[in-house]
Amino acid sequence: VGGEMAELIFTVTKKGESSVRVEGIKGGSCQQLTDGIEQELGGIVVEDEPTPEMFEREVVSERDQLRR
Amino acid sequence: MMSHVVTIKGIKISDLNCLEEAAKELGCELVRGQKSHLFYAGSRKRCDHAVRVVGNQRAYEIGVIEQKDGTYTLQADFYNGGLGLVEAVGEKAELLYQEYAVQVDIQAAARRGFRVIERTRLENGDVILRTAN
Repeated sequence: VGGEMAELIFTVTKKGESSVRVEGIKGGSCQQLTDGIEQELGGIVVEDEPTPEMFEREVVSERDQLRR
Repeated sequence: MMSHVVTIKGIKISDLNCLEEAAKELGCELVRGQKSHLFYAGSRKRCDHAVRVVGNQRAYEIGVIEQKDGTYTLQADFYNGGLGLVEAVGEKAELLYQEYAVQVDIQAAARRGFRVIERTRLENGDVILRTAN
């Protein structure tokens, strides 16, 4: 996503329930990354919480803008 | 830094490749197309595929049964430890379900260009899978 270093961290309980946390990404690209993941993981979303970082503005560098 | 949390509940088995990988991780194998699986006292029950413990021919087997919606249910006889089955896949196959979920997560991560960099099991049995791009 935009060349950023990021981590997806999954927790899988003994019941086979998964949750996934995104680290290292700001702004809407974080949401993009997990869009549709609930279907892929084959279950029901019981929690879909944006955390404060999600509302931080994505910083787009001048170089990135030139590429676009 | 944390941005977004999605929690999944009630996993259904729908991907045989992930089930196959999960079985391997636990020292078992998925035998595709095996139409019956070993139960108590040599009896067998109908199934579409089976999971068996590698190197233990006495262990009861898990029947993988295809449902109308394309998902699969697992059934097995866990009485008396399933003669070694429980040791491999846990009570009521909970380790197999968990490992299946881990494999599904690995695939979901891979589709986004992420690969596993660390895997740990917590004391409470949860598996933590760190993936990075």
